[in-house]
Amino acid sequence: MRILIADDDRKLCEIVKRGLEEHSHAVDCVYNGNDGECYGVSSVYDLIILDVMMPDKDGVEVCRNLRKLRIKTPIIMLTAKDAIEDRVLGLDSGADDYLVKPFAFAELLARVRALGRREDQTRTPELAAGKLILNTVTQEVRWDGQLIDLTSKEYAILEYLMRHPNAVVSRTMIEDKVWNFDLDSLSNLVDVYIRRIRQKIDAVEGKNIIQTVRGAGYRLRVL
Amino acid sequence: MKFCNSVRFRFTMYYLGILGILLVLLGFGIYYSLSGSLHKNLDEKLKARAKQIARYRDAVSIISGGTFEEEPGEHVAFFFYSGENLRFISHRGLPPPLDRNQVEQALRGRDSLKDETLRNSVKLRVYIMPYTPDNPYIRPARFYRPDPGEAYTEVRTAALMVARPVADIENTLAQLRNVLLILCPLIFIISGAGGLFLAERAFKPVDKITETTMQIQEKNLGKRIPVYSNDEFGKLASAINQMFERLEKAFNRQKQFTSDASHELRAPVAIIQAESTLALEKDRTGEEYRQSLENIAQESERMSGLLNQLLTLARADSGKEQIRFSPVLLEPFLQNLCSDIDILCREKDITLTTDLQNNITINGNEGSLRRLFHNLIDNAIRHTPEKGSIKVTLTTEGKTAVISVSDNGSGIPPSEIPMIFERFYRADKARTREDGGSGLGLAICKHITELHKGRIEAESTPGKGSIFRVKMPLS
Repeated sequence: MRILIADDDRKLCEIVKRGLEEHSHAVDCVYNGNDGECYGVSSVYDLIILDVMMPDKDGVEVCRNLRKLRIKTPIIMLTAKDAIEDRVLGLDSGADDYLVKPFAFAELLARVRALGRREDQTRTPELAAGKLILNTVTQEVRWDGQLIDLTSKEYAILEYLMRHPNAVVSRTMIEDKVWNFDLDSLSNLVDVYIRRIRQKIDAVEGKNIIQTVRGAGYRLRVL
Repeated sequence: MKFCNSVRFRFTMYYLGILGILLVLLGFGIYYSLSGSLHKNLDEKLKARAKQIARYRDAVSIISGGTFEEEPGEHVAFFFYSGENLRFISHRGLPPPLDRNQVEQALRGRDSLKDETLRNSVKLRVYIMPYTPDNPYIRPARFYRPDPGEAYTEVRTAALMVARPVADIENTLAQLRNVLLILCPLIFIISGAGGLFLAERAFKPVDKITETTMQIQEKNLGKRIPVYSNDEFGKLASAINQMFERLEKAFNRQKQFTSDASHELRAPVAIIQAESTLALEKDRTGEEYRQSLENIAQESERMSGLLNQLLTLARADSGKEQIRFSPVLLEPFLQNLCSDIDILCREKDITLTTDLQNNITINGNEGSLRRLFHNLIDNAIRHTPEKGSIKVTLTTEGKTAVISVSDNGSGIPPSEIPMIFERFYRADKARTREDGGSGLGLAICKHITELHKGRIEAESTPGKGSIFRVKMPLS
C-alpha cells in the first residue's frame, strides 16, 4: 500500500516509515499540516496517517479539508490526546480510525491492514486467485500450498495485483502504490519485478496468471 | 443551615434586644414621669387648699359648725393641744388616720406631706401645716368633746390638715400601665416580624452569592456571581468574582501545564514504544538492534532531562525548595561557565565572546546560577545559525548586577516576548522539538532569577537577534 505520514516528530515518522516499509508498504513523510494536505490531495495514497498536533494546520483541520475536497482515502489519526472529546472530534472530522500515542507498532500495523481491507469486497485478510493465496497478516504467499519466498517489493506488487483481479493495471499505477516519491519513474523496475514474481510462482503458470497487456500494463487473471 | 445559626436571626435578636430595652425604658419613663407630675400636682393642690382654708375668717368654727363645703373625698381637720391631750376638730367628726409625728411636727411649725391608708384601704395624701387661729378661744363643738367643766380652750398654735384620696391618680396610672403593657409587646412583636423581614431581604444577596459559589466547580470556573448593586454585597460579590477570575487563570495555567507536560512526555515514550515494538517484530541483525537501542537511549535521555526540569519546577511550585546562598564573585564564575559551554558553540561554529567587569559579587546559589546562565546561553546557541556570535556581558547599574546574553540569531517577534517565560511556550511553533528545547528552560531561568530577588528581561529584533538581561541585587 502507499501510505502518507504527516507528523511533526521527525524521529517518530522515521521509525513508522521504516516499520511500514518492512511490511511492504511505500511510505512518504511530511512534517507539517500544510504539506500533509498538499500530499494528501493527490489520490495516489491508500492510507494517510495524520498527527493531530502539527505546526501550520492541525490534523483535524487537514482531515476536514481533505474530506471537503472529496478525498476518500482512509485516514488514521495519530495523537497524544486521548480524551474522549478529542477522539470524537477526530473521528467526526472524517478520520476512519484513531490511535493514541504511545502505541505498539503491531497495533498500528493491524489498523493499517484493517483499513486496507475495507476497500476490498471480501474483507478477509486472505486474498486468493486460483491456486495463488496471499495472507496479508503473515505476508505469506502460497502457490498450490507451496510457500513462495518473495521480497518486500515483490510482495507489495503481487498484493496490489491480487486486490484488483482481472483488471488492467498500468506500470504507473503499480509504481504509485508500491514505491514512494523517491523512485525514479523512468526505470523499468516494474517489469523486472514482475518477471521475478512470475518465475517464483511457476516458470510456466506464472505467465498465465500475470498476463502482459501490450501497451497498457498487466492483468492478474482469475478464472 | 439552621435558622438559629443564621446571621439574620442573630441580627434580628440583637435588634429586638435593643428595641426591648428601649421600650421598657420608655414605658417606665412615661409611667414614672406622669406619676410624678400627677403627685406633684396633687401636692400643690393640697397646699393651695390648705392656705385657702387658713385664710378663712374663723376657719375653725366653719369646720366645727358643719358649714364647710368640702371637695369630693376631702378630709379637713384641726389639731391642737388642750392641756396634755391632743384634740382635733374635723368636719366629718371622724379622726383621720394619722401619723402622730406629722401632727407634732406641724404644731412645732413645720409643714409636711405624707401618704396614709384608711381602714377601708382608701389611700390618702395628707398635708399638715401650722396654723394660728385668728380666734384663740375654741369652743367645744359638735365633734369636740371637751373635758368636763371645760367651757372653751384657748389655742395659740394648731395644725391644719387637708387630705385627699389619690384614687384618681392611681386610676389614671393604672390605665396608662395597661396601655403600655399591651402596646409595648405589640410593638415588640411587630418590630420583630418587620426586622426579620428586613433582615431576610437584606441578606437575600448573601444567599445568592452562597448559592452561586456552591455551584462553581472546576468544570464551570467561568461562572460568575451576578452583581446588581454597588453596595456592600455588590462589592463582596465582585471581590469573590475577582477571586474566581484569579483562580480560573491559575487553574487554566495548571491545566495547560499538565497537558503540555503529558504531551511532551508522551512524544519520547511514543518513539521508545514504536521503536522497541518494531525491533521486536522479528529477528534482526546486530546492527539493526544497535540502531534501535541508540534511538531508544536518545529518547530516554531526552525524557529524563525533561523530567528533571519538571521536577525543578514542581519543587519551585511547592515552595519547599531549600537553597543556600553565599557570595558569588560573578566574573570568574561566568568566565568558567563560558569556557565550558564553548565546546557546544564550536559544534555550530558560533563565536562566544565575553565582556565581564571585575569584582562584582552577588548573594546567590552557585548551582542555580550555573543552571540559569547555562540555560540562557544554550537557548542562544539553539536560536543562532551557524557561524553566528553570542556575547555575554557583566556590568552594574546602581546597586544591581546586570548580566546580558545577546545573540545574532533569529530573534523573537515582539508580541511573543511576554509569553516566552511561560512554561512550554515556544516562540516558533514550526520548529518545535527539532531544536532539542523542551520549552521549560526560560521558565526555569525566570524562577531562579526570582529566587535571587532579581528580574529577567528579553529584548529582540526579529532577524537580528535577541538580548536576555538578568538583573540581580549586589551583595
